[in-house]
Amino acid sequence: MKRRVSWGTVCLVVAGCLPAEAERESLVTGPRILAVRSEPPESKPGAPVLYEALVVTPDGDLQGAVVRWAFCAAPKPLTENGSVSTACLGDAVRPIVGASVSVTAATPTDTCSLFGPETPPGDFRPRDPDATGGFYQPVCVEALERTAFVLERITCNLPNVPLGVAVEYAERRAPNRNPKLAPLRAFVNGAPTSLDALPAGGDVRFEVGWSADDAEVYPAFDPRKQALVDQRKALRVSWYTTAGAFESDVTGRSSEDLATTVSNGWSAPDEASRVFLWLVLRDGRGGTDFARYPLDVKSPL
Amino acid sequence: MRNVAVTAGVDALASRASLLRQGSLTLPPREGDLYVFGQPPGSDVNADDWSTNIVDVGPFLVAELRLGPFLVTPGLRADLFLVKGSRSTPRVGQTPGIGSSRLLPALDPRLSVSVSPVEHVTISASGGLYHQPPSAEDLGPVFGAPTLVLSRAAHASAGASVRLPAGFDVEVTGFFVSLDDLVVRSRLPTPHLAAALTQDGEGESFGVQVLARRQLRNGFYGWIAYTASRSERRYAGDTSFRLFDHDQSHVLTATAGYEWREWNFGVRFRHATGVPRTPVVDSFHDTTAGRFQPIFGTQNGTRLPSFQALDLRVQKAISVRRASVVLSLDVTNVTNQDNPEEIIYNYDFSRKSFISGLPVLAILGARVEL
Repeated sequence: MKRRVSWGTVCLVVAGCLPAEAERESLVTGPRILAVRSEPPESKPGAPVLYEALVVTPDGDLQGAVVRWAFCAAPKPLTENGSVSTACLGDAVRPIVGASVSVTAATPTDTCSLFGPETPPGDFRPRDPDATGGFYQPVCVEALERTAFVLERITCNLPNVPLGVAVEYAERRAPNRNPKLAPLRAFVNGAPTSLDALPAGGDVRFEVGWSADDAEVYPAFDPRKQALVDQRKALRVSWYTTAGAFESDVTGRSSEDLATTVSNGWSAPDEASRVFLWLVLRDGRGGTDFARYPLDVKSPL
Repeated sequence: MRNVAVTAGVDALASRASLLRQGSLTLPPREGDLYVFGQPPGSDVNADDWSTNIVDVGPFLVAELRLGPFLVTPGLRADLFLVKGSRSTPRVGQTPGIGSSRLLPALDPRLSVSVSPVEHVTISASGGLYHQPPSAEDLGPVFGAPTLVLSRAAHASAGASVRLPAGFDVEVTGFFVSLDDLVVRSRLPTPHLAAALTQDGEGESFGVQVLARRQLRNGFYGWIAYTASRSERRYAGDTSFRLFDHDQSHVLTATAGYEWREWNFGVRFRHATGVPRTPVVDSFHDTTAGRFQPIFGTQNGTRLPSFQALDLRVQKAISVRRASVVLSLDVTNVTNQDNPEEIIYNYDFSRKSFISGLPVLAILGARVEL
């Protein structure tokens, strides 16, 4: 029997080129841990935090997925450029009790010395904060043979700063809080459209937003000026779907842009089907929100 | 003929640098760092501004002694480095910095011996010590270490050269270099203050170089140079070496030219082993940043594909009154070889491809000499 080989297969095997949309981060083609929301997103050592993972597959959310959680227990050496130490991919972890998509665990009491600026007695180099002045406790999440990390912002004192700056920082600082996604809206040819009646093969424009309070102003230590400077949060939305193609994988507003909505174009699949869409809102200081939407793509009558 | 010739002198070099650095400590990557091309910097940020003055005064003495058939060249170099930095510790507020000033001496004995056992054959061997001061950019108290001292290298080489008929020369040289006190990042998660860099680096390089030349005769000239080498690095105390980030096992360059009247024709072929890279074996998702991070395999456990290029050059000189005009056509990478320059990955590091170098490129030029 003759076996027919499509040009697409030839392309995949010979040229090693996958279809362009397969390279899109926004297209969910297998199990993924898209996001983890921690509540609160900034905690003091010893404070309880609720972690909730967004575990997805091309068939939708996996609310019942078995998820393993662990606190990373090894600070990142200076020789590594990643966000967490490679040791935390091995045994340098403290397991968290619980195996569901959401668990509650107390932030380790030694987190400010492991991942923050507190150093042992003597002249040691404090760890550097991120651009927002934050330090983070990495938390490892494993599900469906995928590994992810969420960085829980931790409340620690500022390292090696003038006394006046430390006092002012202690007075003005406010723990970060999660931003909140507003409901998703869809438009076809400029007209509002229901999410359960999107046209197959059509061009859809989605719009989502957040509260103006989510782009809050916060003080951060500027090591060059050796002083506190006010910064505003930048917010960005990551878009994920199981079919179709977005214009952009990520949209957002910079810290200077006070607008509270973003929009994104989406080319609906040609066939009528149920499609899943996820939105992840990140604020740059460890704050996260996410939302899930089933979309019904229908053929024109 | 004198049997002894002595040369003495003093080298002096002074440099001043004012530096400002702001951003992540881990980028730009240093030799030995694990990273992939295009990887964003770490989220950690800091800032520092500092200045350095480095003065080197190096008196030296070199003697040439003719001992029978041997030409012996002993030498001694005594460097005194003055290394001054504006700050010993990171800045806190507006407190003035406490600078540092250090004198770093270095004594470098060197020796070279050569002999011609038969006509047209020369055998030589040499060795010696070399010292190098730290770079100004490594002496900052936040991103570097103001207390860095000299790095040291011990060189040894031996070889032979043979002059053949018809204008051919062949040289073969073996070499070995041992490196100590190299500046590397501290591997401690919490290093001492103003000690982000240490001098725990060690290294060695060894190999052989062959050079065959044909001097210009009957309009034809050319040379072939081939080097086989291996360069390795490790932290002091480690049991094994790893490949140096820029190690190249084989480097071959062959050049030939032919002169005919006002015309000059040239051809060059280059081949080089690709430099090492650390493979990405997996990845994880940093859900806070919203991007994937690589998980690395064995450090420098793979290489970029090798580089090959064939280049051509045609040149013609024309005399116009009192001026000389040289017209040239250079064609690089004549065979349009797709030479990978760097590895790039897709968003989750599951697929890789390469950034390639220039395709075939022709350049027409003219030079006027009055």
